[in-house]
Amino acid sequence: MIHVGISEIKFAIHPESLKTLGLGSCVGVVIYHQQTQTAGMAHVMLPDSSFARSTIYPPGKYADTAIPMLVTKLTEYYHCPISELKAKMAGGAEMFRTTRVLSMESIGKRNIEAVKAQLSDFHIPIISEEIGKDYGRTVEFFCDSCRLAIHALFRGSHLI
Amino acid sequence: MNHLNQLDGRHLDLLKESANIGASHAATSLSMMLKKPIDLCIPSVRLQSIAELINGKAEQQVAASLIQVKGRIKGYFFVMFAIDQANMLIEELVPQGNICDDGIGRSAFYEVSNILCGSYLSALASFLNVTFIQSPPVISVDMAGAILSEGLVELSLYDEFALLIDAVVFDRQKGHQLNGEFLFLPLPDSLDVIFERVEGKFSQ
Repeated sequence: MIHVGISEIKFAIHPESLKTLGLGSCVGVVIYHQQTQTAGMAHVMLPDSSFARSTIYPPGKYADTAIPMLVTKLTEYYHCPISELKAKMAGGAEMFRTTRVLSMESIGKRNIEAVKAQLSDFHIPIISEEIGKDYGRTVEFFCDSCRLAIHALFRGSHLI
Repeated sequence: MNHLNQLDGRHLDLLKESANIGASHAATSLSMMLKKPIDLCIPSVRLQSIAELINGKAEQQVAASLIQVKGRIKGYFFVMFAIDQANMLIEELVPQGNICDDGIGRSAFYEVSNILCGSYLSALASFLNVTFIQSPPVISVDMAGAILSEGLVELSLYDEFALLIDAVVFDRQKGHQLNGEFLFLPLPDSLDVIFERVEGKFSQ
């Protein structure tokens, strides 16, 4: 099991799996190649790198840098044909929905939109997703079955 | 613009001192509310990197209140207890209460975090000679990583560090201890104000 920390991008080939913990408004996105059982996962925190106040940041932090990085690495290093890549995603929740106190409203929703826009730019289909709502998620991707396990508190686990 | 990691040991000591003043105010309020002696102290004030903070307790099950701080200093304030600890705290107030009950238990936690945050902020306000306005708390019971990232997301654009204030609540009659965490995340402009005022204390 390979752990993907916040703002990180990691890759795995079966029998390894990719796991990221405690997604709130962040989005966990997996791009995978079923034929070679290869996958890459990013734990995206924010929609757009134009928000960045510093010039140095991990590419996994923003949707507009994370997806291109995932695609580049999968096609160049792992030799996966771009036309055969697929995606699954989870997260983008709004943890405190009762009252809106945060000035950056619904960052979760914007993260989801940004990730989807990026995926569609690369013509990568989203096979399944579990997004939005108001609870945290831990996700693990298994490279052989191409299933994404989602675990949430008080809600148990299921596969998408 | 200042960064949190520019704060050195003496700055942190001063912030810890003011946190302890706040804690004693909070202890008095809590003792009155619970009708028994409660001690509250701040064993440490430290800096922690945001990534470490989120990754370290990503899956920990916590009850957290998020309070927005406005005024001369802006930022977010988290009051966080592990779920079982939060329930112990609630049971002191409402014996049948539970953090997940969506009713009386939750509002007890709401009150406690409001008091804790309020007392801490009012001490910090008089120490720094500024005024704070605090929003009503919003509560979430979930994984710590998911909760924290929501408040830290905005901050992470500017700074890699957050100010972590450990808090220990001690029930003198029962002799048991509850460990909570207060997390104060001042926005960068506000940090300049804190910096300036704390630095001013040394030059006086």
